[in-house]
Amino acid sequence: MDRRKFLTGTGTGILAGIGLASVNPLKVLAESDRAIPGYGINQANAKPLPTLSNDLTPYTGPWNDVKLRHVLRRAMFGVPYSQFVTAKGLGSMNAVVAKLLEDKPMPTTPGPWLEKLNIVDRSITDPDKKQIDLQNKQRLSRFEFLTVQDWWFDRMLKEEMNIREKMTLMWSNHFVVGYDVIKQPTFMFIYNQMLRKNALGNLKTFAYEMSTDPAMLYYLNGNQNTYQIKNGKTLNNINENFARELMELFTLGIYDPKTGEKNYTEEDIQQAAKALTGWQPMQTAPFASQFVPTLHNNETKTFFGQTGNFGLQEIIDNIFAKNGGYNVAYFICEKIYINFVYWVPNPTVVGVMAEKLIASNWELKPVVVSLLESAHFYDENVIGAQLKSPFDLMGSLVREFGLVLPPVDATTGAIPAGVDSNTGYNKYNDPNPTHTYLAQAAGMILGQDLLNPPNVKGWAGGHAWVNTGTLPTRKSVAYAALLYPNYFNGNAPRSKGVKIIFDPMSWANSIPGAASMTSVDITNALSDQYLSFDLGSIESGVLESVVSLGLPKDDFYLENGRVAQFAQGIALLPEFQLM
Amino acid sequence: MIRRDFLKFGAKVGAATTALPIMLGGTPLRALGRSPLESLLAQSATSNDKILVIVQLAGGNDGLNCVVPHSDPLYKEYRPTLGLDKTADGLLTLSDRDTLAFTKEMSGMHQLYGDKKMVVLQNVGYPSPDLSHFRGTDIWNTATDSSRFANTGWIGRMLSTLNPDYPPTTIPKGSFPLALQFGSSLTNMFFSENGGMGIVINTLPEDDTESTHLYDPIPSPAIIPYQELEYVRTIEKETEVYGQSIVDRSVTTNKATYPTTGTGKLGSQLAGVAQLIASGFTTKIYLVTQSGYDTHSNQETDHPDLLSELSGCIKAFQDDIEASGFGDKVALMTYSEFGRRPQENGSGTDHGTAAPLFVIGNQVVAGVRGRNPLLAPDSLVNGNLAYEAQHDFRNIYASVMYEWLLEGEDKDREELVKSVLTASASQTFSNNGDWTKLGIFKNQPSTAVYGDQFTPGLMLMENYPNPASQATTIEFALPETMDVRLGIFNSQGIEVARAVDEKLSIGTHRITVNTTKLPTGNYMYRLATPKGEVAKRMVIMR
Repeated sequence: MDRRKFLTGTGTGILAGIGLASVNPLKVLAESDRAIPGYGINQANAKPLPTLSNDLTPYTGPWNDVKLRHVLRRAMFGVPYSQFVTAKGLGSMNAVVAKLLEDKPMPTTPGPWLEKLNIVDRSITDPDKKQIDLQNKQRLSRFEFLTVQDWWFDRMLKEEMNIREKMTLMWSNHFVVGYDVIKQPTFMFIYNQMLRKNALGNLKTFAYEMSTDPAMLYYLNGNQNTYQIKNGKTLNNINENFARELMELFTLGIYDPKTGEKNYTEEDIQQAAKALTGWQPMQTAPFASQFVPTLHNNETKTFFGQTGNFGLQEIIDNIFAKNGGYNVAYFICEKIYINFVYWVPNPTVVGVMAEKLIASNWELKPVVVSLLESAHFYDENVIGAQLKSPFDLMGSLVREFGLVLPPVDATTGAIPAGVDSNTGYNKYNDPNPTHTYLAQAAGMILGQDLLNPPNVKGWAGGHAWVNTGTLPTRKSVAYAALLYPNYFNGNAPRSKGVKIIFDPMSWANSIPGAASMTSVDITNALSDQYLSFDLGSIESGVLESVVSLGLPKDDFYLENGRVAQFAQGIALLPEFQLM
Repeated sequence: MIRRDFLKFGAKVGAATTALPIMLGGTPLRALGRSPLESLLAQSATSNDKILVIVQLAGGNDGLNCVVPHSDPLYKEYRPTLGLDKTADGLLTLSDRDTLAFTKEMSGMHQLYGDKKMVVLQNVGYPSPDLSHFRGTDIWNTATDSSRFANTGWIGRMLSTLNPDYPPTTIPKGSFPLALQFGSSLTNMFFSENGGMGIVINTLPEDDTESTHLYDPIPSPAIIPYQELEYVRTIEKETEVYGQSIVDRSVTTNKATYPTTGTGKLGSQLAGVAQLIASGFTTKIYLVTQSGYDTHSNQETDHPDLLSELSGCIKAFQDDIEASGFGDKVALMTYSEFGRRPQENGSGTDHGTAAPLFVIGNQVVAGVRGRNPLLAPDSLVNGNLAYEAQHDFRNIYASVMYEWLLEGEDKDREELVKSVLTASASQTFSNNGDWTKLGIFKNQPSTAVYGDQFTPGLMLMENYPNPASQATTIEFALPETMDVRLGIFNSQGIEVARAVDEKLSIGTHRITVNTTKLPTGNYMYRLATPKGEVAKRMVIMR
């Protein structure tokens, strides 16, 4: 079915009919008071999407721009036009998906400043100096962490056609660690790289490496989960925090997907906690973790009905063996589904994905490939059904509108690139410190503070991203970023004078032949490229009238100010919140 | 020309706040519990014009260093560095229970207490407490047993029952939201089966706003992606209509000065709430949040600062709404996901359980309810404070709904409260359907029995004979000469006889009560003194 209907050329007529000729269309249309057609679904009674295909049957329909844009939007943070062109050149779905899942080398560390911890100097005895030292280290950590966030955001923005950064963000919202607890940028960076390295690897290996990640050990008190005999006294400091989350949030989930029974008992948690004792983060480079036998509880444990002197590996083996692996596979595939398809999982599709994950011996890639090549994924009800996360939104603004985030310098009030001895800021010589502003904006304004989710459950996602508090802000950010002449004077302390450059004409002219198109065609071409919906006639009409200034559709010219307004129009549409 | 003014609405941003987790995975989806017929038959209680302002103390407020049991030697034993001393730390003792005191930073709240505008509910908690912040907050917001999960909140369910047609297909201009939260994402407390029953805003816009709306939506095909689009459009519409109502509010100043200490957020939020109330908003529920109570360390400086801000803001708010003439319409309630452990950890306190909760307003029956915290090691549960059964937090919700927010016959209000807290059918929030009425508000019944003795020497004995027919004798002992009330309450919690209401001397007293005029049934007799209340049950049978 072709959902396209819109621009019929009647747009300006409609506008004229309601007296829009000389006034700002962005304002006037808002003032009529129309019914909301249908209220939409909500978090509480949401249902899976109705789709024709409810398994992983490959998509065999036509491979067109709509399907191509869909998979690119879901796999990346915004789709730069150049990457769309490249992907189109690949010619087939399989080639595009293969390219998206291509192995890549790991990015290198941002700098040597991430090879140490910021620890207070214990040789200082003077209490005042001690306090100053503490404050300095805390401040340094904070700035270094912002730089780590910035670095990751930079990876997202510079990512070629590849799904890995999106997978990494998904995992950081699954195997959650929050900076506010860790407060050591080095550990956060190591953790982030651990997620990236395993993002499309083997889930079981991933679970093991995640369990021994130093940041994770701190975050869920694994480092305090110890057992030792000291001077003949037994110190049994069993801390159940990690053991509980390992099962509840990281692998099994609370309930069996088939029976609805609980997956584990409180006793299982206690026994697992005992088995997990002894892992300690190293305080010196390379800041890995090590198993300290003297801190490990060597008693016999009974876990999921198995008895033995278990350690971490046996606990993971047992968890992954539950019901032939189905429970873990289902729980994880549900997360993958939510991240790439829709926020309400389709239990049938997830079940098929789970079987596939088990059959692949926990290799993640085949499952993701099958999902992105499935008829279900390309169902027309799936396209446009996902609310953009704050980083999807930032990515689409920067990459789809070709924003340039130039370096800033001291004369503008911003902190220059390079090492700043006072603040420790920007130690890796970030060529684009303005990224930090947008990354922080996503966190502080829109609620997705990178590497610092609100709690071990992570961000709720779905409708929680867009509410009466965040929607105006989402639009304000889009509006400000697409101003022409450019300005963007954020109120974050590190962004004074930060300028985001939007070049409207270059943006419009990225569409081949734009200069010779009618105003109707250019409106269609740009809205098709950057929105997942075919626009209705009113919307198209408004946009067309903005870009043409009411001139005849084949006798107008593109002009920076109007194109910028047109771009804002696109980014302010509710459609732009979805992909 | 495009004006930039609209940036002011919603774009003013505070620091990131903790987004409340809204249940996504893991929770079985369920069908709507009530049939339309059922709701027609059962729910005839309605909303009234009373307003509740909820102040969330996020992070777990340390109850022991807030309502301080300063005279309990165990308190200081557990708190060698953090323990507060009545004299040295200038504690503000409570006039009618001097074994408890507020900290010196809480002068505003102490004044409200003295003015009989504040109830302190002691030892509030629930069975099998969860010591996790987010799970604990979820339990409080969704009002479930700790072993149960729900993706709707107690306020959302109540508002949805009272407003079954919400959300409407059109939101008329000039409408007010049913509930309003200051924050970054909508709390699950406000969710019902019909979606969010309230809105969330970051800050109150100070001046005119311009819509960010490009056009009004045209009806879209009813396929799901478009339903998601409708969701965004609806939020957009809510933002526009409610946002405009907020911008257009008639009152844009406050009649009291709010403290700006701390982040200043609590003050600005409560000042905003006061403006909306004074402007005649019909919004029934407001939620504001003060964060920072997770005082694992540095408690000695952080906690007093928080309490100072809290107390000053609440006092200013009360003064403000009274000056606007809304003092009798508004009540304020605090809550926190848990209290903190009696035993300090050196520089702070770790996650605990039961803690005090405050209800403030002109219409409350002021005083301390419940015993002082039981600090003896064998009274603690895993090192944490035991909660008082009738101070299960859901009894407080039940009482606040029944006594304050609802209108209608007793039975109808009870039914509604029960449906909010104890839904049957496919989902159960709690097994307990028998919620105790606490008599928090004036002229409201109470079925609470404060039987625990907390003042040495204050004792209430079993009456005899029991069951009684013509008369029964009640004995009690007083530790000192004091004003005493001995009342008899029926099973609805209504006081049906007052046996004593005078100043009595130290020692034992024996009162014979004539019961000939009381019908057969279950009763409670309650001894109220400045040192606290004690009550017991009795039966009259003929």
